[in-house]
Amino acid sequence: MLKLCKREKIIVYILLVIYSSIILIPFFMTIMNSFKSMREIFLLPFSLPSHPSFRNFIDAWHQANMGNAYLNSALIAFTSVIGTTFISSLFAYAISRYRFPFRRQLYMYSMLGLAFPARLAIIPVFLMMKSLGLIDTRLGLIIIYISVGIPFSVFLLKNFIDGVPLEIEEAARIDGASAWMIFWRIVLPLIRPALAIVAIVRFVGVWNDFFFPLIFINTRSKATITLAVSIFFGEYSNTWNLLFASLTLAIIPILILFLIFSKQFISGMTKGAIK
Amino acid sequence: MDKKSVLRKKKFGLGLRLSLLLIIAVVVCSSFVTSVMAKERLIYMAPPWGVPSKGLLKEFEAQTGIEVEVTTIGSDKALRDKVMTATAGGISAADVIFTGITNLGVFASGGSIAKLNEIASPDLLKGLAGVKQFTINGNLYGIPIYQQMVMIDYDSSVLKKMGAPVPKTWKEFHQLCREIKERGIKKYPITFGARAWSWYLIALSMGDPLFDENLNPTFDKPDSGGLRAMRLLRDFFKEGLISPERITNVNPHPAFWAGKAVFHQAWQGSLAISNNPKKSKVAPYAKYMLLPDAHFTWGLPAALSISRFSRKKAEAYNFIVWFTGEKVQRYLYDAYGMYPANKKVFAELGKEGKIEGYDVMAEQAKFVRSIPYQAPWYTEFENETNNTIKKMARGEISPEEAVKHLADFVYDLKKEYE
Amino acid sequence: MRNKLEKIINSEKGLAYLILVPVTVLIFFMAYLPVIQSFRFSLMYYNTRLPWKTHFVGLHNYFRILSEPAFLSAFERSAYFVIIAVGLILSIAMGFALLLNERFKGRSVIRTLVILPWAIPPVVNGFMWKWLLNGDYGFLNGLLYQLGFISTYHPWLMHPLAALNWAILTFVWRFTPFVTILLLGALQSIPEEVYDSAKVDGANARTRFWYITLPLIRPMLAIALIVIMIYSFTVFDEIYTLTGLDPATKTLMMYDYELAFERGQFGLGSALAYMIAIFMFLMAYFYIKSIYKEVEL
Repeated sequence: MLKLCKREKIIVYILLVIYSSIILIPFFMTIMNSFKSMREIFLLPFSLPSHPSFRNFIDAWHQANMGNAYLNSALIAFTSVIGTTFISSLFAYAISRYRFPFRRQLYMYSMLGLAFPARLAIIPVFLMMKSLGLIDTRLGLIIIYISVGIPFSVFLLKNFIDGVPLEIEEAARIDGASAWMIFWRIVLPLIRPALAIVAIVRFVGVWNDFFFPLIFINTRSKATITLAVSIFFGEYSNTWNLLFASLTLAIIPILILFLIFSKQFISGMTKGAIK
Repeated sequence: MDKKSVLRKKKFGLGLRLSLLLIIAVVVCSSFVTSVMAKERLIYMAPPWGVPSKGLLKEFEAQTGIEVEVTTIGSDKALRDKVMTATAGGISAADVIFTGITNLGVFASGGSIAKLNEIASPDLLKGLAGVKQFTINGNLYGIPIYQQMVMIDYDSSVLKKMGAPVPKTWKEFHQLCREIKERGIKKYPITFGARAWSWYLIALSMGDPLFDENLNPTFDKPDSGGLRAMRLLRDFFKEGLISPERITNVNPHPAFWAGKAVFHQAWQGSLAISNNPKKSKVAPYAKYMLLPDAHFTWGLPAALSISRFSRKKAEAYNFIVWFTGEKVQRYLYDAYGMYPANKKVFAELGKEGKIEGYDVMAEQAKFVRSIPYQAPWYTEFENETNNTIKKMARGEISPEEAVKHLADFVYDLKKEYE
Repeated sequence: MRNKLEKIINSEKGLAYLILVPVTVLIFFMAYLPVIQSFRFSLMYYNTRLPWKTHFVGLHNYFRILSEPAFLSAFERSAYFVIIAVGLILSIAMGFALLLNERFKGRSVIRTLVILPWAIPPVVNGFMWKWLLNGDYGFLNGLLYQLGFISTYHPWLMHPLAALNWAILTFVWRFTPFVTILLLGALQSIPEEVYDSAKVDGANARTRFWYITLPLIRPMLAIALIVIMIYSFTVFDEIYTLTGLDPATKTLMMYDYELAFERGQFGLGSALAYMIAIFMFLMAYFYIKSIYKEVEL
């Protein structure tokens, strides 16, 4: 706490109001445009919709097959996030606690994935997925997302785990607890804030990804939200009202999720951030 | 001891439960897949304006027992990326691929689409316009589904106000636009994007074919139409006859439909939108005009191709035949303003008076040139042209430099692609 | 069988190997193998439009790229992008983390609001800003015009440097919330007593910030810095939907995409990707090493 005096507090308020407005403007524009007709969008950019209707949403929902897309995105996101979190926490724990040769190098090895931009390795990844028969499957995407999430997650989790005092585990070990139990029942709860961070970061990353679904998914029934929305994107498409409606529909779930979980997320972060 | 075993069982239970959840998720996934795979299924990949209605697709399924899954891809580039990546991986991204003419060279030489000489019936091809454009070195790579010339449409109410006739030369065009701007009627009378197509439009209609039979550039000859066109385009931007927004937002259509311009780089069929009062402010005054000077324009048709890796080539061909049939061709026109490649349907539409601006269109159709889209390097050239024209419109390079750079680029490309 | 599995899980060594080995293998296949194959591609002339012409060319691709003038300008743009992004994001995020650390009414509401931009898919973000900045009927123009700040509509993205700056801003808008929360977390872990005793000792706000706050959150700052660097260096979706392949915003990533996909030059594209990756790896490596001087392994 900086413990500011009253005058400074007023400045703080003003700054925050300005910042919040900047944050909100693009959202406001998108949502507003979803209610307008196509003509209105480019004839009256700044006015409120004259005849707001949900027509655009209904049309966009059907044309882009959004219900299906939500299910696919949810399935892929939840599965890969659980996968990444579980695997990374176990891996980070092992690297942090267990002594074995090449421990440090293994840590570096696991983080190298951060370096290579995914888009450019697309053909080799594609070839690999093809040999596994996983093209056009949600499982293929899940595997990719789990692997892609490991570097950052291991990095973050290992740091957290390093900060957990050893005594608790020592005590448990003396009491005869097994290695798995120590991990699952003692260490994991202690690093819950970090797990939350990893889960949320990966969730956002997977839900919002566009490139991998674009390349790997061919059948409409398996499209994710970002793919579904992208059919309105093209240079020559001219159904901007539907486009904005679909954008609004696409971001609503995550907004709701954030609104619900932000308290936990933020308070989780504050209960023992990286020391 | 007891407590430990209880804890152990509990922990195992949890771990088991989690893995079970994962397994169930995967199983649900795959069962979904297999259930959908049970029927005979065709995958058709296309942009939004190439997609038949759900009703029509159901009809096709009823007739043939083949279910068609449509993958709609919003942008040309995304579609191309998908196809090329799949090709590099040796599988098909779809059985039937919508091939816009701009992707023809890339798909054909990259080995994404199959040669159709054996499978396509000559009778079918005779009834379609544009077959030649999808033939490279005697090999047919796509069956045309719509034709599309690039055209200019304009707001006739403004010309009436000015008491001006439709310009017949680019000089008249230029002068007229200056006057429109001076009189304050429209701030930016011309809406052309800062992109290759605007240059092609002016250059071709000035009589420069852009490339000769050997695909060498003709626009770098001194005082070529290409050079004059480049200069004119630069002048349009410099004199503020085109909005500077067109440099970054190259899509010229919305500005016209918002009523902000007089002359518009459009397409054959654009009047369907320009004169639709729900979509355009210019309605009902939009009209086509014959391109000035030598009148030449080019076409941007599209075809359906069969993926080289598809295992359902026969079914794919049936789909394509159906697609070029009357029902779907009419649908393409009604829903998207795309002109049927099916010659019979096109003539019928004309007779029914359904085609607005038919007369100008028919006249313009006499002056159509081909742009070498079948060359595998062509899209690279067009990409570089887009970049170059952007720079020129921003004033970073001169028209002379632009033209020279593009010509050099073509020579380099040709060397590489030998 | 089940007993054996139990035994393995319950022993330290067993658990360690049970997880380390499969994950190492997974990382090998999903990260290293593609990277190795990309290296193979980078040593070949591989044009997807002329697949039959693929042949080995050794390091020729690397030399070719390094000698391209386009490469140098793309590199400059990327460097500019990263530096400005890091500067902007760190300062804004730090500022707002400090502000949000204070107690005031509506704090939780504002905190939630602040995270929202991060929820936007980058593809959508670029597109949104493209509409915002549209020179003919964009929202920003409409707003400023109504407020009387401008007399005519502005084509915001016309000037090349402006376009690049707006691209950076688009990214900053989306990414700052995340960093704000990271820093906020670090701030909140500083116990109040530290500030109290400093205040008693007569330190003012600025001194408290520089000599207490900053040093205490240094590890998190370092992490934030590295995260921003990596993400800002590899921005693609936003720029793609905002300005496409406009030369003005052609960073290294955009340039690589153009090479590999637009022009089909996969050999060249892989070589450039390799150079990008090596550069990023070195960046990450040196920073992680410097963090580890503070936090021991």
